[in-house]
Amino acid sequence: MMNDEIREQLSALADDELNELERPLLLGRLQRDTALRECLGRYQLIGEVMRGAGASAGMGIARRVQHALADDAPAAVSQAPTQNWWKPLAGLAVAASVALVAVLAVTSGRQGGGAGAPMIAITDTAPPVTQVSEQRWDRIEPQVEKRLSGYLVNHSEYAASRGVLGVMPYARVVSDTRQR
Amino acid sequence: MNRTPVAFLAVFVTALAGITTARADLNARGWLERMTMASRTLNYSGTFVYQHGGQLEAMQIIHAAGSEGERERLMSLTGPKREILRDNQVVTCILGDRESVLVNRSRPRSPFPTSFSGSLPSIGQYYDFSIGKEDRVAGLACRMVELRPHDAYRYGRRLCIHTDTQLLLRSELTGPKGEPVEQMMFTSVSFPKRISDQELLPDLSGADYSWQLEPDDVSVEEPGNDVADTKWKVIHVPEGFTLTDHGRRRMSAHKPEVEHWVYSDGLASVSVYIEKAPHGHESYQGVTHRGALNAYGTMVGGYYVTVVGEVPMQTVELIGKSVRIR
Repeated sequence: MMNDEIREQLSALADDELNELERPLLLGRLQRDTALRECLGRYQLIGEVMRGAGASAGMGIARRVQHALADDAPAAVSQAPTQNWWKPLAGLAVAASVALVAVLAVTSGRQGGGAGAPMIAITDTAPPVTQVSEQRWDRIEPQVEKRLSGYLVNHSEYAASRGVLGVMPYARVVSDTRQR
Repeated sequence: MNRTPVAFLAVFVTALAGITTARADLNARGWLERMTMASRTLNYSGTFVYQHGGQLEAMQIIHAAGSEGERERLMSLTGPKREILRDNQVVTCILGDRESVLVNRSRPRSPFPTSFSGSLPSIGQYYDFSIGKEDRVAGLACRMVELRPHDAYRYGRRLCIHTDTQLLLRSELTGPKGEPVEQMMFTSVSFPKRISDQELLPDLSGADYSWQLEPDDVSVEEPGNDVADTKWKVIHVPEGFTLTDHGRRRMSAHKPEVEHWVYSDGLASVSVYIEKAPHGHESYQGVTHRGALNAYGTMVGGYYVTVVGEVPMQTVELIGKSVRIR
C-alpha cells in the first residue's frame, strides 16, 4: 500500500525536489512495489493532463520523473561521433566487410524499381540466401547498441503478446552478449 | 462394373488422405492454441537452458497467473545478472552488467492468441503443421509439434508440448535447411498452486542504475487503421505479414519520437522503427542478431530506419531496404 509519505516522495521526485538520500530508496521501492509501478501507467493520464494544462515547455510530470531518474545515471555513455554498426573500413574483420558488400550487392539488385510502388507482398518462395557474418550486438558502438537494446525490449513485448512462444522473446533480452 | 469399386476406393483413399492431413493440421493447431493458453494461465516455475550460436545459458522463470492477471519473473543463472519482471502494467528489465533499468508499458495479452482466433487459415498458407512422436523433457512427457515454413522468409519451429498441462517444454527455431538457430529447453519445471509475492521480487534493486522509462506521450493507432498521416511507407513485406500495430512513441524522455510499425504472420513479428537522427549523423548501416532475432539498420533521409524481428536476416533486410519517404 502506498502511504502519504511515499506519495509526497513521488511528488517531490516528479518536481525534482527529492533529496539525494531519499531518491535511491524511492527508486528501489519503485522497482519492488507493484502499486508504485502501477503509478507509472497512471502517469500517462497525469502527463497528458499536465501537458494539456499548459506545460508548454514539454516538462510534464512524467518527463520530470524521467529526468530525475536519468540524472541518477552513474556514468553517461560516451558520445560516438559517428554511428557505424559495422566498421569494415576501420580495420575490423575483412571477411565481415566482404560479406556486407555481398549483401548490399544482392539486395540492391533485388530491390531495383521498388520506389514509389504500393506495398507489395513478396511472393517468390526461394529468395537468395545471403551468408552474413554479422557483427555481434556488443561490438557495436555504445549509442547504437543502446538504441538497439531499447528496440529489442520494445519489440519483445509485441512478439510475446502476439506470438505463441511466450518465454523466448525475453530470453533474448536476458541473454549474455559478452564476447566468448 | 468391376472398375467402379476400384475407382471408388481410389477416390475414397484420396479423400481420406486429405481428411487425415487436414485433421493432423487442425490437431497441431489445437496443440498450439492450448499451449499458448497454458503459458498465460498456469502457475509454473522452472529452469531452462537457452542456446544460440554456440552459446549455452541457463535461466529461471517464475510465472503466476491469478485474478489480477499474469506476473512473471525471468532471470539469468549464468553470466551477467539480468532480470525481467512483467505484470499487466509494466515490463522492467534490470541489466546488472549495464547498470541500467528499462521500463516499458506492457501490452495486453489474451489467453487466446490473436494469431489463432481470426487467421487460422492464413497461417496455414505459410506453414505446414504436423504432430510428431511423444518425447520427454525435464522428466515430463511431451508431444512434438512441427511447423515448417513454405518460404525462406520465416523460421521453422520444432516444439515439445507437455501432454498434461500443454506448457511448452522445448522450443527450437530452425533455418531453411532445418538447422537449429535457437533453442530453449526446460531442465526442471513445477506447477505450484500458489506463487508468493516474494518469489516475484527481483534480486537486483536497480536503485543506483541508470533508468530508462517509456514515457507517456504515446499515440498508438489501431491495427489496420489508415496510416495516411505518416510520411513513411514500407513497400516490401513478405507475403503473409500484415500490419498489426502502428504508432509513435518515445523509448525514453530524452530521445526523439520513434515511429513504430509491427508486422506479424501470426507466429513471427517484425518491427520497423524510424527515428530522426541528430544533425550530422549520416552513417548507420549494418546487420546484427541476438539468437533468432535479426536486426537491420540503414539511414533514409536523415532518419535511422531499424528493422528487428524473429525472422531470417533476409526478411528484415528486405523490409528495411524498402522503407521510403512518401
